[in-house]
Amino acid sequence: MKPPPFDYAAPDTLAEALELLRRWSDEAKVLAGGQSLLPLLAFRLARPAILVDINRIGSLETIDAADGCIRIGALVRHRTAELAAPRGLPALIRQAAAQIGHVAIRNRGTVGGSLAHADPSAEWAAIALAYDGVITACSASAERSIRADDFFIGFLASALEPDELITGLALQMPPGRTGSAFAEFARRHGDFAIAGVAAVLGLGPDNIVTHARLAVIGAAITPTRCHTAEATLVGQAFGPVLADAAAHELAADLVLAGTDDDERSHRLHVARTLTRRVLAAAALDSGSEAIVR
Amino acid sequence: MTVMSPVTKYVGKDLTRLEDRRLITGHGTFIGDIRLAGLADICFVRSVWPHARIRGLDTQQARCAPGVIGVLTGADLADVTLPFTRQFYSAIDPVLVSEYGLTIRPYRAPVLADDRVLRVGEPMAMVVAADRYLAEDAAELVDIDAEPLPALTDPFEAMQPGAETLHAEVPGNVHAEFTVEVGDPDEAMTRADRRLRRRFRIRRSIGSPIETRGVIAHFEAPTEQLTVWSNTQTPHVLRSYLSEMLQLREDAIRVIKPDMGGSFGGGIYPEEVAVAAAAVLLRRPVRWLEDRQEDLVNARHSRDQWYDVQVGYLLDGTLTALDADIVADSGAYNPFNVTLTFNAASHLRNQFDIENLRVHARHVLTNKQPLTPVRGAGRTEATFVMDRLIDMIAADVGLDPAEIRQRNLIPAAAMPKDMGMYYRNGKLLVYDSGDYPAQLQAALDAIGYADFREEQAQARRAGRLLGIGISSHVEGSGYGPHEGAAVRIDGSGNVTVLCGSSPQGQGHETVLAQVCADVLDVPPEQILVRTGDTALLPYGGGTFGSRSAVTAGNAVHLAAARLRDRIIEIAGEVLDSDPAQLVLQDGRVVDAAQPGKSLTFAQLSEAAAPASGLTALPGLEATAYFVPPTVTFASGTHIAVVEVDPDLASVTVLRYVVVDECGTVLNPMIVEGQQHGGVAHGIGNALLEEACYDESGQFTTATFLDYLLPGAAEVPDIQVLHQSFPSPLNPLGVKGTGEGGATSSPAAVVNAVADAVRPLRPELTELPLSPVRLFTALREARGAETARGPTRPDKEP
Amino acid sequence: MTNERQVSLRVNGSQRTCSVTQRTTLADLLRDNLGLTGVHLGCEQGACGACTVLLDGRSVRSCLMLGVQADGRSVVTIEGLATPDGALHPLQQAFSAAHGLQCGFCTPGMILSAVELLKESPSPSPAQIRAALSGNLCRCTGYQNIVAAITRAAEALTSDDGDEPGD
Repeated sequence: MKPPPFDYAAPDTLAEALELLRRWSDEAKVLAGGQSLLPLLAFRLARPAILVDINRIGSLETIDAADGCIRIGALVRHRTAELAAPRGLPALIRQAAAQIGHVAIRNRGTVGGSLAHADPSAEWAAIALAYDGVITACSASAERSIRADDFFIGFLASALEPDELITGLALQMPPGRTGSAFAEFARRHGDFAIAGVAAVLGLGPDNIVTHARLAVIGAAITPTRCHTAEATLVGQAFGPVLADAAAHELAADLVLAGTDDDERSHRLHVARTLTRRVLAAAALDSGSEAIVR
Repeated sequence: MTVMSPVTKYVGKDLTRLEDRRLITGHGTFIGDIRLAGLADICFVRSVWPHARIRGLDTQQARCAPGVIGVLTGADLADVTLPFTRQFYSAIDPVLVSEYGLTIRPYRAPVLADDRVLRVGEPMAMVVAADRYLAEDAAELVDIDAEPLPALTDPFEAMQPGAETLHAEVPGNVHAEFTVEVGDPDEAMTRADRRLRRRFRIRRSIGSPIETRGVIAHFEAPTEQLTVWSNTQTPHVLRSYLSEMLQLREDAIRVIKPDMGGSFGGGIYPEEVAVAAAAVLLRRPVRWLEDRQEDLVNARHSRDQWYDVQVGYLLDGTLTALDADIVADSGAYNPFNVTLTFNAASHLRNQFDIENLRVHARHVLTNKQPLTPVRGAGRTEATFVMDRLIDMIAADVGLDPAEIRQRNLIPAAAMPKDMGMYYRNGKLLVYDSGDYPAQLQAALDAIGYADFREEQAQARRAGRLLGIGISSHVEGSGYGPHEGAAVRIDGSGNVTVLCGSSPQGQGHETVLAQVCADVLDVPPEQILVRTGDTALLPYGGGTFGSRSAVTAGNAVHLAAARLRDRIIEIAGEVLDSDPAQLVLQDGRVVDAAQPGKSLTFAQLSEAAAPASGLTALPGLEATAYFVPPTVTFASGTHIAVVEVDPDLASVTVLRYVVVDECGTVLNPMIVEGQQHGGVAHGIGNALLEEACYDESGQFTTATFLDYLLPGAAEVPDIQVLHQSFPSPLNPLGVKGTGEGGATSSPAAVVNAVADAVRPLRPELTELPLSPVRLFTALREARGAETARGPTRPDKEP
Repeated sequence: MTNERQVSLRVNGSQRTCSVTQRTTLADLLRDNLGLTGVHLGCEQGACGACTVLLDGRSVRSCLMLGVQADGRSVVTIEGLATPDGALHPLQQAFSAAHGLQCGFCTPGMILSAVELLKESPSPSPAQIRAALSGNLCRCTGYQNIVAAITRAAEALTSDDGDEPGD
């Protein structure tokens, strides 16, 4: 399982990296954390002509929070986000980042890499979808913003062009009293999720849901934002019955993954179960007096 | 036969392992760590077809690739090697043929596939290059002209009339078959109050140690000496294969087993012969280091059996008859013939007093990887079947499984118990010692079985499903035919033990030193134990099947005892002492009657040299081979507590107790470590591990994210208690303990799941019990319950 | 392409330089170019943890990094844990004392992951230890004695302040 031959460049600046991508296009692969790319090379499932190692581009490593927006640079490691409690990152981000693989993977793996790889079980996809994420994609000629809702277009397929590099992810923190939570179920600790759910809830007086985001990973062929389930929640008083109703609506939003009906049925059930649990946890996280079970 | 003194100085102690120092500092020498000048790396070109006729192999482009030294095909190898057709441990005892109709059909197996391939991964050619990177590049350039053929992937279809025949010598694809019968199962079944019929499916799994296979071969043409390093469990067997296949004198071949990163089954592989053949052909040292993808596809698989079983019982739960039909999906070749299924037949009745048994077994050929006995080796499968049946019977007659078990266990007074059949070695199968009822009671007490029901009820009220499951097993251990050891004192007065065992982490350098230390009264830390090298001894057995504590342990004991006799004889002459007065004490020989008279081992060694004027024969070395009269029966009882989340269909193992009976315990710490590791392996088999082929014969679990080994978060703490009934079959009184952990764990875990979800009675008859399988089984059970009409007020899962 | 590059890195406290192809993994650089065969290859896909080393103090799977990426960095392997005069690290001692290894193949990666864990959590609970080591597979020990070893080492380390390994 040795990688096939490739050329290698380690630019120091974003401009140099983008120029390489412009020149090589789909014959180039970006090397960030390498936790997804190196296995692909080892299995010889990817045979790029050149690896563009972006790890030296320091401008991509920052996290800023301002005006209700958290901006995370593409090279921010999962481990950094997981341990960033002092910076006041929401519970969902810390919980989700903590479940990405194992410690050694989180030490190297990056936000940008995870999004670009577009695995259906990518925790960062759940985070991005749950916070109206906007992905900044740069090429040598242009910079564009891609909404997370539009980013995951198919199985392991994103809206990125071959000459584009993700430079950052912007997350919109909703105003008012909100809470968030994340949970996933996998065969073993650290494995890819069979299903994972991220929930962000805004609760007003009488626990009326003012804001709802529900993102599911693992259960469908792409990370999915569950608009139907969200619509069920908004404007209603939160409680277990409402959470049930929202969970029920997942079937409308998910194109289930699985090789047979039993597997798909199981994934849907897991997604619904986790939805109930994270909605309750998000409500609790908001500090509301909502009844949580 | 010398018998162990009951008071031992070193055996029975938790001695820290002598092999640890190099391993914890990263200075072990594993196969990938060996450096030889001019070593070239091999990459096998392997079949991507499950079944195909091969019309041609074009290696021209590959041979011209950068760094390539050569590309060898089956035609090239045929110049130096015979085909790979010999069966392992092929001595079939005639009594199995006459009593059980044992039939084993021949077939032809190449080292490298030539005119056809019979499974995905079958090796077809070898690229030899400057390094593995370049070898893999070149391997992609080998062009194969293949005509794909339909693949047999279902053993039942393979047995149908009209099915493709994989080997001309095996029409109907049943390679090996037998029928064991004890008592009168048909009559007893008719007499039973009730009968239960089930099909059990134990899916394919892989031994999968953390280190993959590797072979280095170096043929020195001028002296025609072949040295092969391989992480094999049986170096002497490998040497004998190489001698036969490469037509080299046995003494011209040396097989060395380096430090080994675990091994849980395997046998001798065509790759080992191929690498040696390449060394002979190319006249340079060559190395093959397998990668993980290769290992998952090409290391021999295991389990993969169907059991169609009927059990007869009385209304009080007494078992009267057992009738099982086993089909093993044996892959394209079957070098281990009936080992797996005969083990299953031999151990199916478990610790229970069942006088009427029939087991019919067939090994069926398909286009898959062949099977090998992997940790548990047929006993795991048989134990799963029997203990799940006990659980079902308990539910049927309305009794607790513990009570059914107590009712049926062979009582202590009945031991030794002749089980009415022959073991695979042709000897009568006799459970030689043990107390199974006391063992069960000890396990029940340790887990707190009586209190658990209250805990379970409380948990239910809080919305949690906890369950408890029991499994027991017996294990015929210490298989023959023999093991050898030599013990010597060198010129510096130090003790060395040479042994034919081939440890893969079991701590032989420590345990065998302890055994020797007790006989010679030398601290074990001063005893050097060397194993895994055919140069050490002319005959050796190897380490597999829980045999080494019995065979190597006793061989060392006997050799050390013989050496002690020599020491006393020589010392008596040198000191002019009465031999009856001489004792070994802390590395010296002392005259008990005249304490001033003594010799250190160094002085002894000098005195024992040739030409030193002794009338006794010179030399301080003794060799012994231990030939076990037959296997000795270890046993164990496991109890697992699990939590089931019925919505996720997840199973978490919370608590685990093992009561292990392995006779004399040589080193408790090492025995417990073996139990921990075995239980972890069994939890993997119970919940996670599944090696899959799709319908077309493609292997679909060739990565460590598809084939799932249990990690630290999947295995609980395991409490191990010892029961000890010294074996009457060897001087040390030991029994094997390497596999018990993996034998009862799948049954205990699945029984616990069944207990957790009551009153639902899902059909839990398959391993592994993946979340999807559990989810589906619960859904079907709910459907069945609804059809029956709900009657219970309890909270339903 | 077999283009070679010079890589200069600090390994176990010493500056080392070697020339590797661009596609050589860090694991192979350490094993083959620098002779540090205590770095073990179990899967080459980042799933077993046997190849774990410390890169600038953090655990990484050396099979998932290219050798050229380690240029200018600092790496610690199992060979760098004991002091130059051979005194074992408390984790090494504890692994042996608690029988936390059998075949020893997963052990280097396991110990290095534990080094990182104990730096970040000096007194981890058994559950925390199991979660932190979830990416290091062992087929021999069943993990229990590994957890015991790490607990034992944690106690030894908190009762005496040692130096960082291999700086």
